[in-house]
Amino acid sequence: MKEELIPMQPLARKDHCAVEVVREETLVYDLKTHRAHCLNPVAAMVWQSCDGKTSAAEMARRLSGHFQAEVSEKAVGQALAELREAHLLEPRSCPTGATIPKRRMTRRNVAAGAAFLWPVVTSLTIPAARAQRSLQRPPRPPRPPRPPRPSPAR
Amino acid sequence: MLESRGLSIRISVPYAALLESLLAVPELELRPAEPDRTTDLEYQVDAGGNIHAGGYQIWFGARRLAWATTRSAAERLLVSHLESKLAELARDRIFVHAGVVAWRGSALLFPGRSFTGKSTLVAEFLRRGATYFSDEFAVVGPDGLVYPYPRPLHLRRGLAFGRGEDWDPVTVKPPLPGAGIPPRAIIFSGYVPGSRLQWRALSPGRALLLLMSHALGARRHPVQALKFLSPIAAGAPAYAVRRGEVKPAVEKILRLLFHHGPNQNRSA
Repeated sequence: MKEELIPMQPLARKDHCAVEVVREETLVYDLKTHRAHCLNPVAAMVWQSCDGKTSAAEMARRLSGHFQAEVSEKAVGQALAELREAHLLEPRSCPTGATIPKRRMTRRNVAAGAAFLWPVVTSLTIPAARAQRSLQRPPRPPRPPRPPRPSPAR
Repeated sequence: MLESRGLSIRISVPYAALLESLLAVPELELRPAEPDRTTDLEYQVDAGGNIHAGGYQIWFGARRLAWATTRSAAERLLVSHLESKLAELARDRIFVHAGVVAWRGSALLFPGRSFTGKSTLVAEFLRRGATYFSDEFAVVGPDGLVYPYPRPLHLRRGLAFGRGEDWDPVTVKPPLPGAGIPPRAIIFSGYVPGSRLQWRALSPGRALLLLMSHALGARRHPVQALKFLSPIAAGAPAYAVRRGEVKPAVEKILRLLFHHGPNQNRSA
């Protein structure tokens, strides 16, 4: 399988986003698309590190220091892939069709005890208010009675 | 001109009794307002709505909402739409579509869409001595507390509540407006017939994500919704629950929440 490259200096998209930190997770609300993204601690830290200057290798080093456990460049690459998919990276810093390995969390990763150091971005479209409730639909108005068909001429 | 939750509402009605009925609906919190205010919401009810069958046409601004055959149907539709709009537009509170009961001084929230069995859960908790807070909205204030929503409990025909018991759904009166209470747990439950109780803890971030998806004003005021709901998600444990029959499910929920774990709130 061809190994793809990781972009050198990704930049987080922060315009039109509302951000709320809940304990170690970060919730990003996209004001344009009304999609909300929950970034687990690893994904959140990668996103915060995306300043257009920091490389993926440097991010991995920082994350390893923060979590006091080894965070691989593969994990950072996965985080960048998920963040790009969620449109949370500036497209110019992370051009389409290039560069980021797209890996899902595998059983092996979990088995290795690395699950908590694996980035996860959970996304949800926030429904419109009218979709939240089941309004009682009124009955349709009755159709007007059809005029009687003219009897066929005999 | 009427007012509720800081919004001014202009309603044109073909007969005065309709206005009186609206003012008597506790959950709308409507009261007369100064006529010269800027209108936030405008409704019009026209009699003789259908050229062939009469009835009433209900307009929201320039948009025709519905056609109703009877006065009571027109009133129900108007109340339902007003309730949604007021919940969506409120700035001082966030309305999460959820059932809520108070148990030992703290709130249990059951967010969910319609037909997910949240009212049945609420009813079963009431049977066990909980205090009724809401079967429609969890009203969350900026202080992170949950407030009662003054609406009587409604159960759809065919649900188990009251069957063979000495309960009558219409007797579950709306809670009195009162002080807010802190949330104890958030339970996102789904009803699957015949299923045993399956229970999964959610992280605070995921709980906030799901709360946002059930908050009526989340799209309109996302920043405010995040700010109000964040303390709830961070402070109360959240669970995704798949349940079958309501009685064993509630028993297990109570056992898991109040008889296990280090931080039990037995004295409240």
